[in-house]
Amino acid sequence: MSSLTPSRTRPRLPALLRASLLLVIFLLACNQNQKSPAMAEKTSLNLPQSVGAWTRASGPRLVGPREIFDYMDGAGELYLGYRFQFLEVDRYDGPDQNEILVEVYWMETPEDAYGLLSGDWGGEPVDLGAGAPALQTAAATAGSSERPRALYGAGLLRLRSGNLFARVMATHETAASTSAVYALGRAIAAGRPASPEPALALALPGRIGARMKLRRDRVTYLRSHLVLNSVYFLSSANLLDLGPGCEMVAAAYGADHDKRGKPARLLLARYPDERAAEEALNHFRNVYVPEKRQSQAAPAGSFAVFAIEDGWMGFSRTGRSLALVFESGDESMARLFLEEATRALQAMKE
Amino acid sequence: MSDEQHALSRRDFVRGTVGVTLGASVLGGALEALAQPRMSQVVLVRHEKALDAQHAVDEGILKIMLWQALIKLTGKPDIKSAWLSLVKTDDVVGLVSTEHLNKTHAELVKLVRSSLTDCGVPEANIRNAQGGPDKARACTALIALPALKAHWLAGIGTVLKNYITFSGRPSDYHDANNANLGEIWNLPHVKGKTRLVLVDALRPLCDKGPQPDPRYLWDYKGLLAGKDPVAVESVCLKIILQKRQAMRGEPWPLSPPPLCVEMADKKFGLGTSRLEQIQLERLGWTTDILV
Repeated sequence: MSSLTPSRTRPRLPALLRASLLLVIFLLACNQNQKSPAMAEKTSLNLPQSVGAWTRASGPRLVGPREIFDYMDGAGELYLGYRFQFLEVDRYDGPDQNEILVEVYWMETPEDAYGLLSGDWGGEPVDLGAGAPALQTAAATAGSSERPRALYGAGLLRLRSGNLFARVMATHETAASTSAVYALGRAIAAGRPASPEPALALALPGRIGARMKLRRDRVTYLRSHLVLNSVYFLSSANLLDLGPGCEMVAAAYGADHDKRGKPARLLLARYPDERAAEEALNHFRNVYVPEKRQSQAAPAGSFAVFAIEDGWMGFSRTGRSLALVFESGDESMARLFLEEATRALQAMKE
Repeated sequence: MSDEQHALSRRDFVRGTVGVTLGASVLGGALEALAQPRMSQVVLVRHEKALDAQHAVDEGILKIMLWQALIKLTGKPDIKSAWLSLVKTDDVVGLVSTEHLNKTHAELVKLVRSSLTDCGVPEANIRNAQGGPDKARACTALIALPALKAHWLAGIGTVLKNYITFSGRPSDYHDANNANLGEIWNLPHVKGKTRLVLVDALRPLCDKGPQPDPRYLWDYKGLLAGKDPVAVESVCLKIILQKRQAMRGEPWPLSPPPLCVEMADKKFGLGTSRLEQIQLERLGWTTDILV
């Protein structure tokens, strides 16, 4: 026995080591696609294994906030600016190397998903309801006051569904790939709640006076100053103290039948509390219009309008809400913008 | 607040005082450069059949376009002497292509590589230099090979942004500092090494993303070549802006404004951003040329 003991015990240590290493490698490999508890709790998508001539190439790749820059470089800033939770990526192989890429972004709230879609209202509106025809007709959407939940153009479908924002894109657009893209869009949206537009977006006045009309295709919901700058550049610094706890809509207004005229801009913002709104307004005033700090034109109150380089601007704070107008043609119109916006903000439920 | 003293605002942009806000005191040599009369040459070559209906590249036509561009830019009689006026055969040549958003066509990178070897640069001395400061350090000559595109954080993301990884701190340029992208070109391991800026304008992207949206890609079928990165970027900017306006039928400015272009000129002295100081040579197909 004694002679056997060493022969039994000596190999046991390396075997254990090997087993441990294999276990570690196995766990690491599993972790590549493993959902964190938060991800596992929330994912409920059941994408098909095949759609038309396209077959799912691999299981979903999951990308969390820490890895998003590895996945998409600086584009990650956009999603983080909208309270991004995680991303599911699927790829479908199709004929003639025509791949379909499916990216489903799980956001904290439906408002965040709406915000991502609102960055660009261009494209053909698509109805993803069960059994509905794929494309909404222009006539059908013209009578609807609600903005589309899904938009398609040149092979790319963008959609929001509850707290999901998704991009489904074919490498090459064909009739077959378009059908497959719609089918995948319907699979993503299936059984999910139809969330309304954010209250702040609905609060935007449709018209200011007789002349200025809301450009419905120029309404963006956002929380980050980087996103604000991508639709209306205000400053390289975050002068309005925007962040995940805030919400804002940026909108353009133009005169009827004058697409080429310079639009006026209206920003509506809501902060976590009145103090945050007040501090944001003070910050903005001190940096953006420092020459007005002490003047009578802009007393210490929460309402002021004045002329700057690109037209009339002004602001109005009420409670935790803030309205700002830029590039208004004259003083009276700037005042009217703020009065209408303030009324709309006051009418919102807290 | 101290950081915000140098924050750029819409008002600076409208007033035309961006340079002042970013610190005129650091202009130094750039101001001297401004005092000199300047004229930078940019060559634009287009060919109607450079791409087919499926947007695939015709490599034979692309080769002709490259030759035309380099011969015109250098004033040399043939492609070999054109290349050898830009690089030496013992240079370690780094090709700096774009790998994100709107990638440089692989066919163009391959063509530049083969064209260089045909002219006597050893294959082993030609490398991919995109990716980090060490890649630039290892090269004695750089060829910038970006693809033409707008960018959601910088306005335009073509020439100047193409060297962002050479900074070693790309995320530092994702926010307010994207106006300072030009400073990367003056880093010791980068400065003076760029022999050619060759922009892939075969199928540009005219909206900012941040992820590619095929509605904003179009077949322009062009190459842009120059030695002044700011001049080339300025022509790129003009093409992008003209395309945006044509697409929407109304002014559609880039937002944020591409401040990095003016800053590369006025603050970092890399070249000229003024179109009146750019001699643009147009060769080939002229339909919808936009510039």
